Amino acid sequence: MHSKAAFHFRKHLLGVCLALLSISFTVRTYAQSAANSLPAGTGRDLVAAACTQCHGLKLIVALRDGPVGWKHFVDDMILRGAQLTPQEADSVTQYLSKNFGPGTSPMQSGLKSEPLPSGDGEKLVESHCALCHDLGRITTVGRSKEEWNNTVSNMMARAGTNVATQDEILTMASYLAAHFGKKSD
Amino acid sequence: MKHLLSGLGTLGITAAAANSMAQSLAPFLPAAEDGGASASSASRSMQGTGGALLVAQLKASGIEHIFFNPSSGAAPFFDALVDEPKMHLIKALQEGALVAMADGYAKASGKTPFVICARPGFPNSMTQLYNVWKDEIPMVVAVDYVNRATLGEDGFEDADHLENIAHPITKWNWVAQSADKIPEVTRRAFKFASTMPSGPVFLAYPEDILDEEAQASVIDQAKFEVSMKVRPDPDLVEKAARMLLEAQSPLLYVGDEIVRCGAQKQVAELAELLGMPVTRDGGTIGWSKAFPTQHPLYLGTNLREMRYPAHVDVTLNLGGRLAYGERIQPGIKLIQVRMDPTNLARTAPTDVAIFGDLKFTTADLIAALRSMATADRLRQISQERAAKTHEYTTTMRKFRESIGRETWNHSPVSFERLGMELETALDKDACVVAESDSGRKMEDFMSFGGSDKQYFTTTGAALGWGLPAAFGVKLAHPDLPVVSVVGDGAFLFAGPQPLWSYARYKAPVTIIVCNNRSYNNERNRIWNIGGRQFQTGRDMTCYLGDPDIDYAKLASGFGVEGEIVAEPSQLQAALQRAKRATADGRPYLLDVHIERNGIGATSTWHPSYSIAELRQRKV
Repeated sequence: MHSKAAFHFRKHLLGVCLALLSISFTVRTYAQSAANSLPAGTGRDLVAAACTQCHGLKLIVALRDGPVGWKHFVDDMILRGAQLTPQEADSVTQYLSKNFGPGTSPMQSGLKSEPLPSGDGEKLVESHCALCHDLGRITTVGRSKEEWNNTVSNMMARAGTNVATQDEILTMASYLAAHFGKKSD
Repeated sequence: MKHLLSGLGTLGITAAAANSMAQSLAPFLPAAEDGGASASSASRSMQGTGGALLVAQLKASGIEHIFFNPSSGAAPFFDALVDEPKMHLIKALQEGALVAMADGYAKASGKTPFVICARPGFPNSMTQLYNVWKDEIPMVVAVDYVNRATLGEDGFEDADHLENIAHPITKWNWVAQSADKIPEVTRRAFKFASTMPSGPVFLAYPEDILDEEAQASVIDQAKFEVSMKVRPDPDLVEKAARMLLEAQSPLLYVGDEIVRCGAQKQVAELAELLGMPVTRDGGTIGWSKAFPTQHPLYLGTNLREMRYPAHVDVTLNLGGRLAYGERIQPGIKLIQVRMDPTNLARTAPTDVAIFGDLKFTTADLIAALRSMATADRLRQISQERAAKTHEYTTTMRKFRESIGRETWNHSPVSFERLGMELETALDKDACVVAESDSGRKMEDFMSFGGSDKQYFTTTGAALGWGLPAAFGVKLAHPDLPVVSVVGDGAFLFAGPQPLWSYARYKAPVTIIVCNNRSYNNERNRIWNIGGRQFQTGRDMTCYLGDPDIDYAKLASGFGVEGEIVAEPSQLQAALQRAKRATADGRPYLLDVHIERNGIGATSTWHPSYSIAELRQRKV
């Protein structure tokens, strides 16, 4: 190679290397700082890299949902442009379900709640609903029987298969409608 | 010309040679000397009321449709239209819908529409005028103005400097000063609206001058048009081409100006020449699909740090807004091509900023690349890159399809299924006019751009655009199938009064109301902040049910046929009924019950409050 051409080639190569280093450093720094706010585990870096393209992680950390629920969120985000391959999406869903699923420090509403009134369904509500959120979310609002049925069915479906039988869902909905129903019902 | 020929003859030049010389000089001779023919056809003196002069000038500006809502002050204008059967009045019953209709017409036709409404109704138009402004769509919006003799007296329909309320979202605003000036200011308004950066212009015609007789020149708009087909600086094109050629991982970012310039073919050719992956404006930004969405190089929405392709080193923005400078990461070289010099290099630091028509500039970039590299080298560059991108986009397309299929039997209907069913039902040349924030994901299952369907939306996000805009698209393209897909929130902001215009003017459009009884995406965004609504699970703001609106019944009140689609299994048959109705020349509305999704989607709880219960007396 001609010496002048070789000099320019080396200069160009050095420039490309520096540029690539600079890019990877920037990306790593941004993704890493996002990842640091998340619990360790497989899938954490993917969440940090893919989800933060459009929004922060505050909601993800605060939300509790079951594996089916988290999958819905991840699928929805992919349709909105999140760049995750099928395998990566699985990894993200598993990470979210494990770290922000039922039983992992339930969401606190800040609403004061009296103990649940006794009745058929009381224990089911305590053992199922309170896995993701406190009882203040339940006892301070009135919903119709249909609304409670939809809400409980949706929650149990999101939590995954075999979490509650259809009879248990109906028992919980009836209990909630009886004690926390709408005035008109 | 006659004087020139005789003058050349006296200089001893032969008649044939003199004639030849005169012909070659003809373009530079004053028009009046050219027999006066072109001058007289382009310009004529006219006597009439200000209203008649306005009609004559609009005709000379090529206006066939006048988007209007009547006002007594503009009576002389409407009177003058009685004898102009080739100029058609298109009425909307509210000014916002009026402007959105004109916006759809402008986007689909490429023409600059004229809108006129009453001055007290003009503030109604502001939401949609803002949308027009955001998309840089040329439009002239006019009102009748207070009589000059009483202006400023706070009298009937008088607000001091009404024109100023349009100021931040118009390119220019003006109050005509006399009847004889009406044609001139109108021509100027059309010129200002259509030159880049194009946008809406506001005119006010005082009612006394619309009624006043005057003599004025009416001149063809063509005499005031400035071509925006600007060829780019060749040095910048060469610099950009060299950067693209040397790039290891270039990324193409496309935007609406490609559609405005009709450069879609050239842009696809450039992407293929270098095997560049293609992204588009992010989120709701952008009103068109500038690149074929099913193309193997098309990735979709641009993200701050693209995971694919990794390590982008050069981004080429062709006609996109590129509003968020932070999207361009440090270390990435940025080339931007815009036909709007104001917004070119507005935010992100730009290495090469090219002002030029997108079609010319892209063609010049292609030519420069071909002159710098052999066909073999270009093939070598593009093949490997394109193959990788093809593999990625194929994987992601199949993945998205599998996600969509999982929602196939969801009831109410999922947006995914609506997208798939529309893709089956619609013809390839259909125009889809969309205004549904949650519904954008159905576009993953549909094909737009290139030889496929046209797509129209609005960047501004001021709701109420979609329903009237689809009317405007159909007016511009009566021979193309048009489908309006609007969220229930958007539909309700629009009216329902645009349905009156659909019925009155027999606009055969399929109107799909995505009825999920919620500002669904707004709730998601609000809850995403993680505040009290999220913590307590209480949707204080976005639930639209109770009352649950029957949109088919509502359409029936306007004389528009429609039906409710409550179950997914009913959807395809309903779409086919809509197709038959529109083929017969009738609009048809489908009230499709759509699922809500995201955080708090299932809840129908909303704050309860009753004015009836406040009463002490049953009155």
